Amino acid sequence: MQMLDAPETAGTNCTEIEAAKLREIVGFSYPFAHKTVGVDGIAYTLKSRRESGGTERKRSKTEKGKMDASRLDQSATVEELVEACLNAFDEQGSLKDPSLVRMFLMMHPWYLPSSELARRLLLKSQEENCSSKFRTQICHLVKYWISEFPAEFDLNPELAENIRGLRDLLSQGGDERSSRLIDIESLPSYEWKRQVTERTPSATKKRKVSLLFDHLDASELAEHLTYLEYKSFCKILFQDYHSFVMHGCTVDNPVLERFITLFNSVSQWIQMMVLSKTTAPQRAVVISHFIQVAQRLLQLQNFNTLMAVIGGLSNSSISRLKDTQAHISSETHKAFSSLTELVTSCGNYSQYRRRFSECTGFRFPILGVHLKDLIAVHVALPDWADPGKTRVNLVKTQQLYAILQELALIQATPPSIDANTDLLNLLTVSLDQYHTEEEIYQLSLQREPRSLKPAASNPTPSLESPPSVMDEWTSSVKPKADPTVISKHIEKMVESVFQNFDSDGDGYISQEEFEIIRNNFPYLSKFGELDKNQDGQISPEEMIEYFTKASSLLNCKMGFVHAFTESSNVKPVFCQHCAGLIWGFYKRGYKCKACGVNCHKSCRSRLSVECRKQNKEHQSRVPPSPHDPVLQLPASSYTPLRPAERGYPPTEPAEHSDCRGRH
Amino acid sequence: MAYAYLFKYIIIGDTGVGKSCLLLQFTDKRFQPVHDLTIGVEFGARMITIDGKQIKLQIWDTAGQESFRSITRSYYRGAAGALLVYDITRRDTFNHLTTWLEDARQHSNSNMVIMLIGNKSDLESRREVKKEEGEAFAREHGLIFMETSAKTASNVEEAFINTAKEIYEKIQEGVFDINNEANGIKIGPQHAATNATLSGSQGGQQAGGGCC
Repeated sequence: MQMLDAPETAGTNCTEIEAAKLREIVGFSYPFAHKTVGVDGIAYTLKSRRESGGTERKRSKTEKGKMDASRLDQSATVEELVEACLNAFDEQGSLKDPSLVRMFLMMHPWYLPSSELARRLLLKSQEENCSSKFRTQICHLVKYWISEFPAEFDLNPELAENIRGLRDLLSQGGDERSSRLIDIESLPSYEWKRQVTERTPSATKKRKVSLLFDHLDASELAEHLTYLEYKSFCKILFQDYHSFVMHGCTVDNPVLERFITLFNSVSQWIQMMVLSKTTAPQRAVVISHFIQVAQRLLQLQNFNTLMAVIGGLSNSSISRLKDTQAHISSETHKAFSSLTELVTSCGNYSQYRRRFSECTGFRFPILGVHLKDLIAVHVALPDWADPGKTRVNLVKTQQLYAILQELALIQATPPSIDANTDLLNLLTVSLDQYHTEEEIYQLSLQREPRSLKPAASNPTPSLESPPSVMDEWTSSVKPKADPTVISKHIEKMVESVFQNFDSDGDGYISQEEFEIIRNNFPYLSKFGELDKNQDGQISPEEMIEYFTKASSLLNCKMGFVHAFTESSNVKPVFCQHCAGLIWGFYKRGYKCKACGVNCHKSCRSRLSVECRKQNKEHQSRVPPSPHDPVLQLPASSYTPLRPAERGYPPTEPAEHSDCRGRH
Repeated sequence: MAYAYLFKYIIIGDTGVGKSCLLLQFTDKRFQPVHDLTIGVEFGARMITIDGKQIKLQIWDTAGQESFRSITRSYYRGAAGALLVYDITRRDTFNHLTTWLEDARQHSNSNMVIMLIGNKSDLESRREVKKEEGEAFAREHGLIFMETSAKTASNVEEAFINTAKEIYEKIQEGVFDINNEANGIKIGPQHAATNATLSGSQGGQQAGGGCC
């Protein structure tokens, strides 16, 4: 990425040149920004550099010794970067070109902990030859840092402490004016924002919408999904992206995990909404409805949820339903193909990238695509430009920064959506449900079994008795101790339901009304009896209990978060994290109930392996402990086909067929 | 650069098994920088020669997206080959192979060639999965198998090229419908014009614009 051929300018102050060059480097923008860069961008940058060369020469200051100017395009030491940032401020604190300063302040954790940067600034301000002007520049930089990245100070006590130390030293040294610039006490708190449990959205005036998903307008649904997903997106901070890129996955990263879970939930939920219908024409109606939702999402420029919806609809559990597909109009089919085409991974998502770059105003990127970009840059380019790890690789820094800066900008541009709290509450609970891929696929097979004769559109016997999977699961699994998030969601949802359906305000709704509401929750096919005391009336308590019980059927809602319990091992087992033996046999280690991973108590938080539910084949290798109801479930309630049995008969249409493997 | 065929690959497997590193090693770190508005960050494609024909391999890396299920899925469609990677020093990555395999087979076209790769063979001292286990798994599921090291480059070329050979043979046998791009194969613009020069590989990355 040689952007400029820096001419050797004798007698010029290097710090200034560095600063200019650094600014040029960061002048590039990431492709998904809407500014056009490329050849024109480079030409422009070069020109502006040559023009500004003269002025820089005049403003020469402390001599720093001559450096190889050509190296600075690509790399700089941390010290050089700090100097360049400080020099970007004048004594009044105005900042001519914030790009370098922003980049450095955002990206420095890649090579220097924030608290260490604060400490360095403190030391600088205490150096003997530190002029008062320089000290003021330090204060301006810190002030800018706090105002632009307040969350970092709120969430990193060590950093805040070091900055307080700097302020106190300055004020002790009589530099009251400077120290007043550093206002760290009035930071907003980010803790609550970071909580995974979401607060009830403050909807001042209630928007009138149907609370029944079957009757809900496609636009309403699209907007409320957008609201939920965008809200979850806004909680993600630099720290979360940084951690994700460093680990290559989510480790102790609940905010990002929650976002990914929501994304996956939307896809699954759509499949369940479709598959909950017993006849092909009914399912076709639901599919067509969600295609409309997808179109509306595109209008809203919400590509993230669009991807989730398209992903759900093109999952093989849906696309294999030939009878159902036959009931969908060709026009709708066409709309679906063009949407699928838009988010295809083809050409590294070139269609999507192009379309996204053209959007203005609120726009919501497919986060997964940009996370992939972050990982790709991180893996491909080294952090340091030299083996001694003294020079920061600015090409890498710039590329990562461009992506992260763009994501930060998007968080600052919210959609104008007026959401209905009650609908959000219902939607949240409905989306909370977690199913394995296998369960959904089995349901799909029950809806339209593979057979030689294409199934008629009237339901086959198996359709009349929907799978009893859920019923049996719930009866055999006791609610776990930690369903706090979900139970909060349920409480809010039940409150909403009663506010809207309990018309006479007596605190009860009728069984019939409840049946209508239940259509919103496709997984609740024939789930137990709700009206426990058989009085024909349903109280909020009964309803909460009902949903809590249904929700607890899977303890690890997050899909890839382990559901650890203390385990006692008779046979020696090894820790997944450190590979060491887990000693002793009474409650010495932790075992994930879902995937069977073992680890030490102390290694638990550092385990980087995601939870992937094991299928039967692996479960048989790891004998389930008798105290482990989840592991026993598949055997007692329903039997997923073994991989070998999952061979599709030759009659199965070609696209999604044949898992018997190669010959 | 002219090519006779273009094959699309995907690389799948658990987080941290070294998917991106394999790809980087194979494409010789030719890496598409982010200048272009519509390309984004992409690892380079690479030309190889099989049977005197230039073949362009376009490889999709799913690193960083493993958790986004419907995104990973979308890669399966239109892939002619898949490298299913596990880490020989982490048994869990081997244990998850069945899940990945089922996923791939359920969402891909039935002829997709799958190569099983046990990566990090340079870390012999930390090995948790025996080579024989990998071989047995591959045999049982009808896969090609190889152990590689993205670090030392051992077998990396072979892994990509052998998969391509297998696809090429399938084309010769008429198993693949090469006119259907959903199969992950595209006929090059100048099919006949390629000069049969050498075996092995030639560098040459093309900007990944256009639809693959």
